[in-house]
Amino acid sequence: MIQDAALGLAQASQFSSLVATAVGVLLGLTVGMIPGMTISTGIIIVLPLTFTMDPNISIALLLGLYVAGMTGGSFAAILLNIPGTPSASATAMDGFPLTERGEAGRALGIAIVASFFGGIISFGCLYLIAPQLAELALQFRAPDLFSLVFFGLTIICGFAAKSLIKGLLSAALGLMIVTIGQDPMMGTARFTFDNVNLLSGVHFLTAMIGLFAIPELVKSICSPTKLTRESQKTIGSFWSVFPRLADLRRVIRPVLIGGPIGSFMGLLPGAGGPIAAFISYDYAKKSSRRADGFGKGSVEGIAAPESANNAVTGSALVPMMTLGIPGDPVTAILIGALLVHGLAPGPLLFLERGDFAYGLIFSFFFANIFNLILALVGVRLLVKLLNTPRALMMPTIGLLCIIGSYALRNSFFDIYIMLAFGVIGLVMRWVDMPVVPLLLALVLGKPLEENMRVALTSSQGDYSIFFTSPFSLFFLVLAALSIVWSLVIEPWREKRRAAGLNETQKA
Amino acid sequence: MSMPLKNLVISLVMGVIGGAYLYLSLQLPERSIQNVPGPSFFPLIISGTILVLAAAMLVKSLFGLRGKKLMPRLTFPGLTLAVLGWFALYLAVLPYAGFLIASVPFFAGLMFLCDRPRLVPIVVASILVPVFLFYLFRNGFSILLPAGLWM
Repeated sequence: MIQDAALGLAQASQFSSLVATAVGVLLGLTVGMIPGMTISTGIIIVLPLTFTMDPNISIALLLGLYVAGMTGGSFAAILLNIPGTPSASATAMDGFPLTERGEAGRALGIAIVASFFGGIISFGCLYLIAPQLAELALQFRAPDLFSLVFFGLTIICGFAAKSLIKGLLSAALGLMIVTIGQDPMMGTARFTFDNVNLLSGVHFLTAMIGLFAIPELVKSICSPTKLTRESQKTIGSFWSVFPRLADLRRVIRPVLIGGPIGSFMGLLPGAGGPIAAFISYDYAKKSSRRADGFGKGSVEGIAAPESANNAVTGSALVPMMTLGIPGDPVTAILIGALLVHGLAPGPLLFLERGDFAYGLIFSFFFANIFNLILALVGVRLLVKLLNTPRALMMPTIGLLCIIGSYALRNSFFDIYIMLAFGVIGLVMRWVDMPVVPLLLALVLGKPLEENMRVALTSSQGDYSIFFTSPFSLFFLVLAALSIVWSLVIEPWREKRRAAGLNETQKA
Repeated sequence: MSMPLKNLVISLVMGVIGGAYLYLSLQLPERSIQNVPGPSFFPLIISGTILVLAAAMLVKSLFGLRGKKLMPRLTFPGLTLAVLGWFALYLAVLPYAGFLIASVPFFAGLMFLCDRPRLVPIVVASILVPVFLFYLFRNGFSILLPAGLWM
């Protein structure tokens, strides 16, 4: 393990990897900052560039983008009151009031520093938990893996959707698409309609480009976010971004709240940055002596959500690396990027390519360092990119989507599939059906079917195999609990919240 | 469009998809190994799940629709269809014209749909960006983009 860690550190500290990390950070800060562009879209756009790169370099680039995208999202939230990413929504509540008071530089500086500490806390979580979890996961057999993947899907459906039924329907649609192509166990062609292109199935990265990038592109063209020059407040001098000592003292407590909450939420598939940011904001407010200042430009109100959403990034890599389960679209794309390079995320990654696994962990660490430095030094220049003409940006993104889907397998068919998924994504948004469960089902569908059938084959069709293994039983109980939570407890809490709101309004 | 009506649309569409998928799953060849799940095993579970969920959604939407107007006021998504149509046209031309030639009018069209800028920026950007991307991927990343029938 120590040898692998040393090798990983050496790989991540190579000049080419560091340059890739820094470039990824710059791209991430830019992508995160632009309202309407999510980190997923940013990674999808950059992905084709990484196909021919060395795996260490490509993953360093993508991690840099992932980490910095979270921080970049807070820039637009603070300066324009428009969160660049959903995770930055809580940051806007206190960031924008500070901007209105002419303290935009101070708000940005606190967001950057809090993001850094959140990232470092989650690096610790990733470094300590991932290898242990991978070792434990090596003991999992087919029934355990089936139940684990099933649990992952149910929790994603519960978190990602306002309605559990819609979430489950979306996931079922994804599982249905996974069955197109050759049957993984017997090689029978299923639902291919004699089309040779469908024999190898639908590549989930192609589907992902369509589901995420095309609807965002169409939305940006049809209903653009109004960015006026007047709304972009000046940041101030170069040094105004660097936090003062007094501010640093005030952010310690919210960072210590946001970091662990974000790290924990990142471990849960589907929970993600926005939930972690709002929970941390709420806890920081409740535990603060200056709670009445929240919502009016509180330094703590910026630090808590910012540290939380960046803490999510590191711990979201834990289930991805050790179990092959993506917690959000970004980690799903990272799985795709690894698969393109012939690396399968899962417990064997640490066993067979320990150097690469640790290299990834240390690249994440360096991404946080670069994020701190480049964001503090370059924020004044970066915000000028908010003025980039949309008419130039959107068509370029459109071309990059087409290149990305074509370059995967040098196939025109994949581009058509990408556009078809774009239409599906648009329709799903139109009827308020969540896209994330479908997407993650595309990633998890194959292991779900394979492990289920292997388990049933080994037990001669006896279903009790899923309940006799302790690990499997544990995950199935968790899956049942997550369904009960989404069906019963969450709507009950929503009703209570709504009732409380009505009473407050009446009063 | 109200949420119960959206739910009704989802339930009906998913019901049709689930039904068609069930039919196709039943057509899959079965293997004769006893007690071993065959190729149709997983698709049958999924089609059953889709049908049950669609039925649940239908019931939920019908309860939500009680006493509400059924016909929504729909707005024609002209620009959305224009963007998608432009994409489809581009994809139809791409294999024959190649990336470079097909991308220039595609880029110009999207620029026009975006902000309707002046002619000179459209012409300059729609030539420069595709050419830059073509050579960046070809020479920088060794990814050969479709060159068309005549190159």
